[in-house]
Amino acid sequence: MYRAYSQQNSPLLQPGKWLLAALVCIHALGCQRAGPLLSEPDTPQADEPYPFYQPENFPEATFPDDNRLTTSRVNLGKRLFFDPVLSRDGSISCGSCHLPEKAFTDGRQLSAGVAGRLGMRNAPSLVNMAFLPRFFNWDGGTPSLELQALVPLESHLEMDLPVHESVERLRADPDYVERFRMAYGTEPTVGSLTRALAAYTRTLVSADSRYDQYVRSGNQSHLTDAELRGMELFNNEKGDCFHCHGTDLFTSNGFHNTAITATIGDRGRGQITLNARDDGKFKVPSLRNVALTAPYMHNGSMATLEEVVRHYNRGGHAENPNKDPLMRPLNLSEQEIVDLVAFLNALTDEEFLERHRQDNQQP
Amino acid sequence: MKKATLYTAAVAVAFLLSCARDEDNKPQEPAATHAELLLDSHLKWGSAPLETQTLLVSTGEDSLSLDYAGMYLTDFVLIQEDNTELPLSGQVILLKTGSEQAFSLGQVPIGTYKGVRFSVGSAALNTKQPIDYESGPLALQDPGMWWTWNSGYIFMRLDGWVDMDGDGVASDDNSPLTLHLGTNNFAMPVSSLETTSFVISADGHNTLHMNVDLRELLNGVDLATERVTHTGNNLPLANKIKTNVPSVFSAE
Repeated sequence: MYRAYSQQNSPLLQPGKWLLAALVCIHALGCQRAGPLLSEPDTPQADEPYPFYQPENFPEATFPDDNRLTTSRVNLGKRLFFDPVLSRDGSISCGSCHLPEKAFTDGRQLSAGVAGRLGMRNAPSLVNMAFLPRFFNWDGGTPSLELQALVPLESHLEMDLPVHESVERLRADPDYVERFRMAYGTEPTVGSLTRALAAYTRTLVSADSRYDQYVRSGNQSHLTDAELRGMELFNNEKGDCFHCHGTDLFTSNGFHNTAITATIGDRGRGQITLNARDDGKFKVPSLRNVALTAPYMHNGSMATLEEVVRHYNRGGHAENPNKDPLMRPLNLSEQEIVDLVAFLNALTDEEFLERHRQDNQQP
Repeated sequence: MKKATLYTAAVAVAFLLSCARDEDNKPQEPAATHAELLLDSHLKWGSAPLETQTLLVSTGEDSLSLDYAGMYLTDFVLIQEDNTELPLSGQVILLKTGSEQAFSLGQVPIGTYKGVRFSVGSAALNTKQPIDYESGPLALQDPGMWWTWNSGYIFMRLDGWVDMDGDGVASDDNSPLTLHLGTNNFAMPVSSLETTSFVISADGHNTLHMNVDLRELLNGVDLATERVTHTGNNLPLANKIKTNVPSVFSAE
C-alpha cells in the first residue's frame, strides 16, 4: 500500500541522521570498483498482446520468443512498412512493392527500387507468413522474417540504404524514438527495426475467402459449380496442383523447378545451396488471393492465371535440364482449364483486403 | 541530543575507515592459473605492411589495389605441449583493414603450448544473426560482412580494383575485384601456427604475433579473368582462394 511520508516522520529531516546518510553515500561511492556505471536496462512498458487471428483451418502460427506480438510493435512495424524514410532517397517504402489492395504485391513484372532500378524477381505476396516456419524469399535464402527485413532495406536494387543509416534516421525522429521505446524498450536499433517489420508482416492473415467459408461450413453454396469442379481438379491427380499447393495455406513451402524456361537462367534455390540439383528451383508461393497477384511466376513472366494453368497443362518446357518430375502434360480440357481458373478466383479474401485497405494511412 | 550526535559521528568515522580495513583483511589470493592471451595480427602484402588504395603486384604479376579486406577468425584451439587441445570457445575475431588488429583471446591456462589453430569462418558462425548484436564483430558491418540475400556471414571479403590496361593505376575506372567467400560449407581451416612453442605466464605479456599475407591468397589466380566471386556464382575461383588460405597465416 502506498503511504506518503509526513514531514515529521521523515528520518531525513533529523540533523544527525542527515550526516550519517551523507557519509554512508560517500562511503558507498568510494568503495565502488572502477569501471562504467551501469544504468538499469530499459524494459518495455506493459503492452497489450496483439489480438492475432488464428484461423481454425490453418496450422498454428509461431512467434519468436524475442518478438512476441504486441499492439505497439505491430503498429510500429506498420508505420515503418509504409514509410519511405527507410529508402536511400526517401522515394519508396516496403509498401511501394507490397500494396495492400493487391494482396501485398505490386502488379509489376519486376519491382522498381530507388532511382527506378528494376529488381530481379517478381514481388511475392506477404500473406500468411506467420504460419511458415522458415524459408523466405523465392529462393528461401532467409530463415526468419526478422532477417528477411534486411534484404529489401539494404539491396542496391530496392531501398539501398545501409540499415545503420536507417537506424540513424529513425533516432533523429522523436516520434519514432518514443514508439520504439514503447514497443521494444529501446531507442531504434537494427534489432528492433527488423523485429517491428516482422511483427507487422505476421499480422497479414488471409483466411476468409469463399473457399474458407465453404471449408468451415461445409455449405457448397459458397462456391459456384465451376469453382467446385475446379477444386476437385485441383485436389486430384489429374489437375495435380495439390502436391505443391496443398493444405489450406496453398503452399508446401518447398522448392520446385517448374520449367517456365527452356534453360536455367536464375539458379534460384541452387544459388543458396550451391547444389546443382536445386538449380532453377523456386519456393512454391501460396495461391491465396492469387487473382490479385498477377503477373505470375518468380520472374513475373506470365500475365494471367489462364496462361499459368496452360503452362502446367503442357508440362512446362521439356528442354529444361532440371525439370521437376511432377511436371508432365496434364491433358486438361478447355472446360477444365476454365474450371481451375474459376476455383483460383474463389481464393480471394475480400475481408482481408478491407481489413488492410487503410494500412498505409499513418495513425 | 548531544550524545546522539557523538554516536553518529563515531559510526561515520568507522564507515570511512572500513575501506582501508577491507584491503588489509583481504585473504591471500591463490596463485593465478589463467592469464590473458592476446593475438596481434599484422596484415601484409608480401613482407610489407598492407596498404589500401595503393598499387600492389600479385605473385602472378597482376597489378591491383585493395579498398577493403576483412575476415572472421574463429574456432581457436590451443595445442598444449602434450598434444592435448584446448578450444577457446566463443572467440570470434573480425580482422579487417583500417581497424585495430590486436585482439584478446580471453583467459587461458598458464603453461607451454606448441601451436594454435583456427578457422576462417565456420558453419557455427552462421547460427548467429547480426540483428542480435548492436556492436562487436557479429553486428552488421560497413562494408558488409553479412549476406542479406543468403543469410550468413561473409567469412572473407576482399574488395578492390585490377589494373587491366597496364597504366599503373588500379582504381574505380578499372575492373572491380570482388572476392566474397562464405556459406556453411566454406569454412577455411588453418591447421596450425606451430612454428615455435610459446609460454603463457601469469606475469608476462602473452601475445601471439601473426602475419597475414594477403598476397598469398591470390596465388594461381589470373586476375585478367578471375576477379569476381560471391562463392556460389563462381565456385572454381572461390575454391582456388580457399586452397590458398592456410599459406596466408604464419607466426611471426
